[in-house]
Amino acid sequence: MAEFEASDEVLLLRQAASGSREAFEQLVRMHQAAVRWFLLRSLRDQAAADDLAQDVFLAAYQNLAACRSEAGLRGWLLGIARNMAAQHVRGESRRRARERGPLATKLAQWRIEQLEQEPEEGQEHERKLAALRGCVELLPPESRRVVEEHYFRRQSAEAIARQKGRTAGSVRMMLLRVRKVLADCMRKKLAHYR
Amino acid sequence: MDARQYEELASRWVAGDPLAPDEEQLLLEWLENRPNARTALMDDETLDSLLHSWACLDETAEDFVQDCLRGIADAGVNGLPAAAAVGSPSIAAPPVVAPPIVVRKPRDDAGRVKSKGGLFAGKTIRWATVAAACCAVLLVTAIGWRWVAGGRQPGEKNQLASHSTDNHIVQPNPPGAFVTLAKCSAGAAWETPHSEGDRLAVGELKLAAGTVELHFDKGTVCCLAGPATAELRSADEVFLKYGSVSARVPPPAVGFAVATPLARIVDLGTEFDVCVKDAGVTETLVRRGRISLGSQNGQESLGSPIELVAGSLDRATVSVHGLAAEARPVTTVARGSDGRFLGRMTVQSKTAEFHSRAAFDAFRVEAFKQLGQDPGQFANKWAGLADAAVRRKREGSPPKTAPINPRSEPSTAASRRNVPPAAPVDDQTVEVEENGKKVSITDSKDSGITVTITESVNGNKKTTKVRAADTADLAQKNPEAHRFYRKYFHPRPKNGKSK
Repeated sequence: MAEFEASDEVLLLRQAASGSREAFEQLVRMHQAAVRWFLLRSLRDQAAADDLAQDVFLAAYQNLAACRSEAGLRGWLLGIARNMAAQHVRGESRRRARERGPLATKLAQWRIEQLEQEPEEGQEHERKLAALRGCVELLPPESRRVVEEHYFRRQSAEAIARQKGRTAGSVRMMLLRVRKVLADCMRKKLAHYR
Repeated sequence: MDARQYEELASRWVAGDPLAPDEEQLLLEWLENRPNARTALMDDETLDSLLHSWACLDETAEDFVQDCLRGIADAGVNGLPAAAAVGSPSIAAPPVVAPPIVVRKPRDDAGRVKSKGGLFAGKTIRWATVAAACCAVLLVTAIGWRWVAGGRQPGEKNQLASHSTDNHIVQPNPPGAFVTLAKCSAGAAWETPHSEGDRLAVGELKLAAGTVELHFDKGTVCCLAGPATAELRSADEVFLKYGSVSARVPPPAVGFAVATPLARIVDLGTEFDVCVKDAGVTETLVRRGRISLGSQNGQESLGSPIELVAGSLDRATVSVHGLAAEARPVTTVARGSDGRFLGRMTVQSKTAEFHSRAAFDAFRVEAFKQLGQDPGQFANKWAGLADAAVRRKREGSPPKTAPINPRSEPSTAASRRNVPPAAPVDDQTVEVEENGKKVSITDSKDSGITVTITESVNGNKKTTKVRAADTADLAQKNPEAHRFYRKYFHPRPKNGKSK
């Protein structure tokens, strides 16, 4: 987004609405990260998030004329994404209530409530991603190694436990605590922006 | 429950480990009474997902953009100029079916293999995203690791790699090549002479450490994690002797198989992991879709395969008892995150099957006792043991858990279809419409699966009807019908019709 001025977006929107594929492609490129990030946060499933993100852009393309440029395309896209995410979570929750059990079903309900109450993110995702990257760098070596093994090398807690001579439970607890540290660190970093 | 116990349960929940029903209830009650804990758990789940996927957003951006545009073109959305759609290779690229003619994949200025936008071009846009996700996982490994460990940015020269691809002599495109070694993680170290960009035919791969990504020409993407020894057997099969592999298989490649010393895992449209440990012990987990898991002893298949389904009966371990040289019992234990269970023991093609963990454990103890007492005579005793188990099951109490296959009689014989636990007891029909095609899917306990696709071709109505005994059969007969089944058919316990 940094490369583009608002006036560029207005122009691109106008061109896309009159059928320019190149203009729409540019708009997708500008906003895909924000939409996918938002959906990934909401759905916790990258494949599902990307599938839904495609639907968001498809819906946007079909209704470009309805987008009022002064409201901002990103806000409009995130609004569509929020509605679709809530609908998706609700549908999944109903469809899979039996197999998922009561806790997953309840969490899905709470997630929908959270989605509906959440303010628009705007540029938040870029800041959050930068904060997350910065916070991982600040982790103590041992914690960073566990993050690296689990999240980057896709090692299971069991595999890490075997390497370290610990129990899988202790590795899972360690990951939980590292995520808490990361969450606190991110909150502090993001507070600087506000 | 105290705070420590809560943390333990929460860490397991977020990690995706199954909780017992009473543990799940405890956690639910705790969260219901504590809004802050609830928010914290949801935030933690979110952070966990983001850590798993963050680098994907950058690395798969271009794939995503192209997928979007193809999706719009495929959907025939008003406003997209037809001429642009036809004339633009990024929108209207034909499906890639022939092997690429280049030895190496194209690289960007930083020397990295470029993203494979177009590999799944055409009708399988959604799978392209899934495949991109798979690549991203390895990119996270390669780029994220470098970034975290060294503080460098993606694209900077990697000084940590054990084997620099710069010094590797490019393997010529060997005759019959069907795989591209697309990406290697920073720490990838080979025992066999391979490097990123190689085109590979039938042959052995020995990876000492790190992870590599294999792109099969039909679209399957396999992430191999070392230490691993694998053999590329054909465009549809890899033999994993040791190590682990994650496979993502797009619809055109359904039927892709991972063979191990003790099992053969056949994809039914899916995403799955396989890990082979010492003595060939094979663990598998279905992440999305379904797979068929057959046990085998060397080349010999043992009994009928079972079907594992993501979110249900989704993981299994196949192992062998090594005491008896002639009659080695191969054991398959399948479990679901919802507590479902299937245990099988097979000796020389005769199988005893259980749906209750307790009954299976008791049987296994008895069988191993007999085996230990007289290994030489075990083969003779086995038939009697297995038959007695089946008789007890027929005469005695029903299994404690729901049967894996409600349609089949408890038997040592091969079952027609191992349906997932949530399969319908009676007939179920789903009717949907996609891109102008009307699709009716019926799953019947008597006549199997019937998929009817009605579409308009050149103004004429065309109806395609596919009947199949099970999902594997359906995938073989008509991949499109199989795709519809996977996408829209959600088995439910009661008879009825949904729309």
